[in-house]
Amino acid sequence: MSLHLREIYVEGESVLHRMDARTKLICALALPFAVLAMPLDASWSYAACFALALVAFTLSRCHWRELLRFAWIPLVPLFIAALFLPFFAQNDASGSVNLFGSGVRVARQGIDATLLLLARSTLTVLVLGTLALTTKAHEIFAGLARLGLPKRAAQSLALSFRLTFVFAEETLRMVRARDARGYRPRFVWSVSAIGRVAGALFLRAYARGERLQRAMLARSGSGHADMHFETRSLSRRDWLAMAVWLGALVALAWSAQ
Amino acid sequence: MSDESVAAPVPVPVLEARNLHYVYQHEHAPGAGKHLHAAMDGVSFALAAGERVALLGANGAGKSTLLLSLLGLLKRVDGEVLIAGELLRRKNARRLRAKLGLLFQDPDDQLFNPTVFDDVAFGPRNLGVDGDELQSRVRRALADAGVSELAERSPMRLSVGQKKRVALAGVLAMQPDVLALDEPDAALDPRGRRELIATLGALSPAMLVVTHDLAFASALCERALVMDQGKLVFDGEMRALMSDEAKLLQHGLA
Repeated sequence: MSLHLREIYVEGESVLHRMDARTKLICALALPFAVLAMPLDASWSYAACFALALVAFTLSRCHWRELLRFAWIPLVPLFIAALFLPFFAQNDASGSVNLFGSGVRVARQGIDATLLLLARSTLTVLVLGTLALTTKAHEIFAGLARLGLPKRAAQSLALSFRLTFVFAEETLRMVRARDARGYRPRFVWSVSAIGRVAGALFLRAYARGERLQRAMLARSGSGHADMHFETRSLSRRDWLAMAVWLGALVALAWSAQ
Repeated sequence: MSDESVAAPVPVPVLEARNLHYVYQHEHAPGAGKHLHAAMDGVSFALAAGERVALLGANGAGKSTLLLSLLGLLKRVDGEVLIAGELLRRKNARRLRAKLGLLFQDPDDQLFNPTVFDDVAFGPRNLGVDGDELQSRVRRALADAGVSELAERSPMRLSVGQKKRVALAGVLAMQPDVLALDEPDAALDPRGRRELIATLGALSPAMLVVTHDLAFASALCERALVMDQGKLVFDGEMRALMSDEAKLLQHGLA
């Protein structure tokens, strides 16, 4: 495992990379809400949403591998949960289905729920992944602040994100140091070492926080993470992109009813 | 001071510590009572403008405690600190800290902004500097620290040496009269050390440099302060200290 942890963001010069973070945030968050309004019967509307999301991803000029590198993390548990849904759904008027002719009957309502969950989660991960691949983390936090998130909340998010990497690297160092001294978790009681690492990490995090605050005070700060988010206006291209995207989503959601 | 002193008279102190005392309290076991440890015991010294002084001592001698005290970052410190002749108090601490730039030992303690530019601009912004002056201060500090090309990078994607230089730029952007550097050479390879010596040697502010590396201290500083068990036990020329092997051994420096 590398000690140099990576952000999801991938350097690039695509039209999406150059777009304002606010535009991308609004567009990316609008799609999951739009698909919530679409019934499963209107499968063409889901196909159209997938087409939209794929166009956006293609415009990002990122590689599928970059997306899959992290997309599997939320998708795998969601897919597993979706596969079990038909077996726990109650039979209702919609009837039941003989599963692949095996004689096992599952509720049609459960299969519908599975398909909905698969479609909605895949779409959401696809658009949010495209956002993350084309937008630096601090631009996302700055974008949230410019969209009205209280500045202190945006600053806390940005600082937490930064420290996540510091603590993750610290954890990796501790785990390596532990393993270098022969630790192999072969037995249940070996797990207690994980608790000790977590405890040590908590103490280190506390000490790190104290030192960080001193560093802020030393540079005439107030002791809070007073990060600066520049104000800037959206370009005509951003407004246009937002209008096209949101217009298409509203039209699809409306037609699907 | 317990040893002989050869300190030259200090004409205009940009930094002065007068009789600083600080005690850490430890409780080794519940009910065992408190153990008191004097991290600083009557420390006094002064720095003239542009003077470069090495602060030496074994681990636990009180060097880092002294640096934090000079900025008023520790509570319950007895004694007085004067920065540019002005007594450091709670109400003027924020303003006076701009005159004394502290570089922390671990740059990850100091770098928390999303980009290098924002991190270097953090201090000046706290002083109300903005617009063109902010841009020019940050660009100059980055250039002085030799990291102009990193301005738009994220601090989390830098090497240790780059992080150290960016942290130094963050301190330089405050345009301090004095730099207090806590082991700036720690974790640097020989080339990184040479480059750091060249960078620091070209800077004009007075410096108080904490280090365990006598070669690094000799290359950069003409005067040395040695701390041992919270006391200042030597204040004199770096050359005189280097030639006194008995003293180096006595205070855990060699």
